[in-house]
Amino acid sequence: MSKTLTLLGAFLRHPRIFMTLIQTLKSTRLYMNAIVAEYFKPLLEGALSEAQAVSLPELIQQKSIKNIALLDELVGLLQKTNFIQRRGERIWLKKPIPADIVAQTEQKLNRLVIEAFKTFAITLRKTVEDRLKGIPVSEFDAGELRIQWDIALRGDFYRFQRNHAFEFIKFKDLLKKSAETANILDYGCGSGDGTKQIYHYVKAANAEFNLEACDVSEGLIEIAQEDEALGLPIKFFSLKNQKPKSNYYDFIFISQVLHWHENPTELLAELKSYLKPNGILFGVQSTISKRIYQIDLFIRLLGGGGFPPLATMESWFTANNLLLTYDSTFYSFKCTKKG
Amino acid sequence: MIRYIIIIKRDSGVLLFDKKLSSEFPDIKSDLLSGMLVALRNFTKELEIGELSTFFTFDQKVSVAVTPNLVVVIILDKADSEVEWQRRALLVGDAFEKAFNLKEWKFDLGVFNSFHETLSTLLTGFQWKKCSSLVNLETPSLDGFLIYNKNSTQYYEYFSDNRYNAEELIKKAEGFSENEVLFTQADKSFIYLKIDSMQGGILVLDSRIPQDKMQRYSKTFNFLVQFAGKIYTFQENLKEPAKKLFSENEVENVLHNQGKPLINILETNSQPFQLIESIRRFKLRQIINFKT
Repeated sequence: MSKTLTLLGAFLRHPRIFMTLIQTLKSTRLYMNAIVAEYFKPLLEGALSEAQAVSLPELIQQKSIKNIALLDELVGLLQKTNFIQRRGERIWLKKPIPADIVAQTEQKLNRLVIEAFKTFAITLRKTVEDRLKGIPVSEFDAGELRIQWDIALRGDFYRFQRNHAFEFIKFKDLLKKSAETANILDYGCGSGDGTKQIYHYVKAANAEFNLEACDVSEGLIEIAQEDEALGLPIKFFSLKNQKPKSNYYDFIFISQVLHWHENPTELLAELKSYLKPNGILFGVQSTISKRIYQIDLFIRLLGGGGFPPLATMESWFTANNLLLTYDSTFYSFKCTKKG
Repeated sequence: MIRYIIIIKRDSGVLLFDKKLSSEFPDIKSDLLSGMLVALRNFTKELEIGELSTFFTFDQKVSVAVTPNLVVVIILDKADSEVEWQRRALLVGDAFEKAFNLKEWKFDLGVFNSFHETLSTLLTGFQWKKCSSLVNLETPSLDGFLIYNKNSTQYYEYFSDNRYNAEELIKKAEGFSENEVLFTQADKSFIYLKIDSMQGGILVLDSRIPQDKMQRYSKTFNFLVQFAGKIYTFQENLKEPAKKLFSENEVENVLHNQGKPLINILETNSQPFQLIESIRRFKLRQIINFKT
């Protein structure tokens, strides 16, 4: 009941943004369902009834599948989306999977989702196969993933989330109140589009500021400083070579970063140490729920840890004596380092 | 400019070969030369094979290079790069050693006369050679640029008019100790670049262009100098994703030019600098890869 009221409140406060959110989430669900269905299509060729069902143990042997839990999860997803039926260790098609299911689905998707994730489709087909075979994930930005993340992060899908996070802390008001130059860090800046967004936002507030940005991906940092934000007064650095300064930043922004880290509690401790007393850590962090299960699956297939349940996320902050304020509709969050 | 070259036998200090290479250079009197040889003999005793040294006189500098059996001395103008000429002096010494069997030399200086022709050929090779043809400089803010390679003593020059002297520009670039120098004179900004000890370039821009634009020009030029002779391959599987970031025309253009050295691309396209900028941005995203 309280969740419904929260959503209703969000709708009434930001009707257009809320509708965009709903549409994009629906689209991500449809898209991942189609990609998983496409992977299973050739495996279930001819299995149109229980009599023609495919045996999962045989499938495991035939495709050298090692990650049985993932196989179960993907089969479960196809059951929920009514593509297949399962009895015990046997699966068969409930309805035919069209050969061009991904292309067909793309026609129905929200523009933001197509813009951000269409290019991942080829990688995901191979990734599903690799993860099932137990082949470990490659680097975050290896091979074609570099350009795919570059496209995704610069799209409105993420821009929209970042903008909401700025409004969530009333960033402009805080900057205007600040008497000194505000030191701002964009932690996990990727290819720099979010950093540019921060730059233009802060500049519009007429505030004095010093903006820095960092990421573990040297490739994405290179794109940021050599191209995307070339000419802007932003200091980019790779976390592989340099750490942010301690007790220095008034604001640290992180967008969808925590779930990529092996130990988010430790990461938050580090981020807290970079903040000045009364400094603010804010940004975007999704928490797992039915509505974003497919995005979570996408992130896990690409090597991320998956979105945390809200209680888990709260525990990361509590362990660092940080009081989390969270918007579970738009995933914006904030906390302040006590002075 | 090289003025004089002297080749001395290392063990005995005997003068084997000398040649005046500039009519403006005064004749060295024999007593001055022998005094110089004695001084050099003492000086070079301490030097190891392959070692180099330079000292200055009033108007010139003297560079010395030591090969297994020889000491090669070259007299240069003060503005010349001694590092470059020392390298060349070693090449001259090596050529001399290869041409004559010095261990069995019977004190006949006449046998070395044939080296005059060899030296001429070597010196011609050391001269800068212009290799470029016409390029359409697409924007008025870009005055032109020059790329040089000391290994091949070749340079590629693309200026909108002939007001710049290529060799003077190269000499100036080589004179800076920093790898990148911005120098503004009147309404022109000169960016002098050295990629490594052999390659460099000079970019000339209208100094009134905005800072961010100048930075982008500089990055693109740096990239061009670095990869001038290299060819790239296009990752065909990234053609569609590339269209999300770049215009279709840009993608097709970069794809079309794969397999050609950048320097050739420069000469065969209507908006070459813009195209090189696209290629640089494609490389940042690993849509293209350069062959090593």
